[in-house]
Amino acid sequence: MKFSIYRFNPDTDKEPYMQDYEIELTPDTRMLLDALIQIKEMDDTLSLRRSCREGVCGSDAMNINGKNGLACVTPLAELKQPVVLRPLPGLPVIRDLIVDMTQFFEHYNSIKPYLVNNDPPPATERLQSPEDRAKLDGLYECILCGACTTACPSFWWNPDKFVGPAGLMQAYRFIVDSRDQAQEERLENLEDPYRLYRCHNIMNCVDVCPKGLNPSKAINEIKALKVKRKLAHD
Amino acid sequence: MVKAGHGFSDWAWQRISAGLMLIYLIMLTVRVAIDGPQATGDGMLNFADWRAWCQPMWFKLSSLIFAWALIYHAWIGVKEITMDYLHHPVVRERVQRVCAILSWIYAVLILLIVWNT
Repeated sequence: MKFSIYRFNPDTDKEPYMQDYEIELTPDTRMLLDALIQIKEMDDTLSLRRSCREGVCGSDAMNINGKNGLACVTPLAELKQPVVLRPLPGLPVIRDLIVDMTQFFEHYNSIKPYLVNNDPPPATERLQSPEDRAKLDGLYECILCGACTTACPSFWWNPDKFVGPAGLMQAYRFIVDSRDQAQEERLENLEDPYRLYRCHNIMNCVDVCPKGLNPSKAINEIKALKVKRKLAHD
Repeated sequence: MVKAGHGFSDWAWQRISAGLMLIYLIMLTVRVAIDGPQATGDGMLNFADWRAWCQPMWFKLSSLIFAWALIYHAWIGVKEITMDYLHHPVVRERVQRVCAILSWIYAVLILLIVWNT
């Protein structure tokens, strides 16, 4: 099977280049990550992140034939040859397929991705009704791989200011959590014209999410909550 | 009262202005369908016929609201585009200022046109 892989080592290369590889697939090589590990055995200078190899850790997000995805859950049988692999777009490349995700996680941190509840902790858990718990479905499953945010043109245009679909979906995950007491502050935290409102419903995030989530819907729910909040206060 | 940041207000006004335009367009379609301009003279609709059709005060007012909603909608759109693409603050501010001045000129012109019709 043929591959064309983005290579860049800042210590030795002046600029990035594409390197071709051809490998004989073994019968148990089913996913793209398996093939990449096979290539890495052949050429150990190739750098990539990977860990759980089953779509849970989010480490091996990359641009696969022009579309962001996770190498470990992408079947080789579905890919056109040569398989063109590039690092996630819009983030600085550290080396080969490894990108610097500092900015991505700074945006994630900015939405306070933790429960804010000032009541004394109960003896057991903070309980929720099944209905309230159901509101978190489709949100908590995000693995923060960055595929959605780095596929978003609004993020490419304003990466320093726009929180991005992954961060905003997690913002909504806490806004809608019945146990959280900081909904007002969380909505105010997204009032700036760049942090939330750069989203123009392009929906690349929905297209690429390897977990099948819908960040665009979560973002629109936040906008709707802001309308309700405004009407309630005026 | 919650402070109205311009992130929310721009987003809300873009939708409100779109709603106003939609209402006017529906109203216009209905009026043309059931009470369209009447041809006088040689049987063909001419400028005078259209002008007479535009005379009712309610129609002038609603046309003006439509035109202003369109201009405001476009202004917010242009502002969004400059925020997306123009990253140099001075360049962005100047482009926005030119567009704001143009929007005001259009708003006044449309007022004069509608009122003098």
